[in-house]
Amino acid sequence: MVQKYVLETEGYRICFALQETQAAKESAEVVVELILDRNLGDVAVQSVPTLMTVRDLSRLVAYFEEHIARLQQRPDSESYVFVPLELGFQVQALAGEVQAGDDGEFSVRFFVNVGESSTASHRVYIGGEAVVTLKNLRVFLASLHEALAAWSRAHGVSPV
Amino acid sequence: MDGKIHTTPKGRRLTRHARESLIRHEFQEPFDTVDAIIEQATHVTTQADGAIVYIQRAGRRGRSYHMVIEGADGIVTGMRNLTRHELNNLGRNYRFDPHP
Repeated sequence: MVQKYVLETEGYRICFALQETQAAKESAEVVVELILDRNLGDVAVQSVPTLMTVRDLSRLVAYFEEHIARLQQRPDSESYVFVPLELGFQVQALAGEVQAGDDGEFSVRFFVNVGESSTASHRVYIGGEAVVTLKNLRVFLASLHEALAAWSRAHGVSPV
Repeated sequence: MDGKIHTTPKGRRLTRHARESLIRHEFQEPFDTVDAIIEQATHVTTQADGAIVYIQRAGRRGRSYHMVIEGADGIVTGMRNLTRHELNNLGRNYRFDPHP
């Protein structure tokens, strides 16, 4: 069964479609799709299917939570580029304005791995940058927390 | 037996994750390329969690990298033709020094 988790930004939507695989205990197959806001054009780019570990999913949640905490002290903070082990996508959380609670926003850069170049077999990434509100990010993170809990219940694997 | 390959030709154990990810990264069975990257590594380093990272310079003019990660349970994954930027990103995320 495919489970979808969506991050809404002000310019594009990122949809993570996770599906169990033979290696289901510690990883799932993920396809990440970047869908441009309809008002900006009819563009959607899908990643190649890659494996994503439960640890990576947990790291992604922690990455955003740490970035939000940092922005409250230093609005110009730019986090390092987050990548999962299998390089299915890249995300970088950038500067923004964040107050306590769910009030705030920051820029986020997201690239999906669309496959390998025919010349040198290097991976090619396509992506965009837009503002994400804290409210929308919290919705996404809550859905990932639920996914992690369900994963743990189903497979007894914790994201250590 | 389940018909799956559980070790490399040199007897290095493969985790379930590795058996699936290596195929996705176009390593071909019996995964002798994994042994070759480990044995011909130009850098060997260690992740914060103790896993060993084998890095081999490769490609045109030695400007790309092959990598194999080996944890306590065996080979975790392998990737070929990484750019320097990708290798640096992996190093930052998994806390290893990509250019020791």
